[in-house]
Amino acid sequence: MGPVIDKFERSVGPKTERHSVEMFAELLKWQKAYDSASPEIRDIVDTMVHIINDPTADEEERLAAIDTLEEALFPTFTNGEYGIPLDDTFADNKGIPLIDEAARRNEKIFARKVKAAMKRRGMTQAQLAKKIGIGQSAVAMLLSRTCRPQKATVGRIAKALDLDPNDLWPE
Amino acid sequence: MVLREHALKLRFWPGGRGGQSVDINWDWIHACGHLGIGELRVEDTIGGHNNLRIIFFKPDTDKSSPDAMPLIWILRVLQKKTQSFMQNEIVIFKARRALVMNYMRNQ
Repeated sequence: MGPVIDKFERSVGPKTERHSVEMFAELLKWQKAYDSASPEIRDIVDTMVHIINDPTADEEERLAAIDTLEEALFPTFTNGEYGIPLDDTFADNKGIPLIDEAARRNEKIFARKVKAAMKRRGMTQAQLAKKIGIGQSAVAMLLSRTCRPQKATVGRIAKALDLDPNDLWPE
Repeated sequence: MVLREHALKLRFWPGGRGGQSVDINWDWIHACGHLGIGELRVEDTIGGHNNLRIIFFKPDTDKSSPDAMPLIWILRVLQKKTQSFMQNEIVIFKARRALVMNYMRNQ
């Protein structure tokens, strides 16, 4: 449990009289969680404490280790942090707008302009897909706005259709 | 939010040994790919950060229902600063995978 106490002291800072009661209550909570954890979870906690105390670890690694340690002792799994089943995050899309309005506008402009350019050139989705090195179904998803393209893909599509990338996806 | 958009592309899991599907660029992480841990490379600069990686875990659970959408877990999002992942990072990925496995076992 020593390592967990070390971690605890790191997270709440130096002991002061003002905080001593809160600290004690918090410490009991950590102690209880650690004591009731499975050996596998205890191993994870100990490993994370090792990283937290590793002088060669950078700040990001320490923060990630602290997050992991807390998740091990006090699992959340549904709080919007790591470890969310991807389907659940996708389901969020039904109720919560995942994409800001500007991006929605850009997607609409992108899909409309690409479709128009393809029509002008008599180019099929399969032909465009082959030209830019992705699957036809991927092009279909981009045009139906099921997936938002990365900028590099916008650039490749613009090149394939002889268009200005900034015209396809305004900054 | 933009990163979540990119992560959602993992739904269209390409399988195999890395490469491209939709316009995602991913690969297994050398030190822990055998555990089903991979990295999705985000080419765009987001919030001033480039070289972003979404670390994901794909449990080997698809054999029983090959037609089902794969279950993929996001373990971490980070800005990759070195060519290879540092040892501590790998340990953290594995620990988070273990937490996911533990969670799945208890479901």
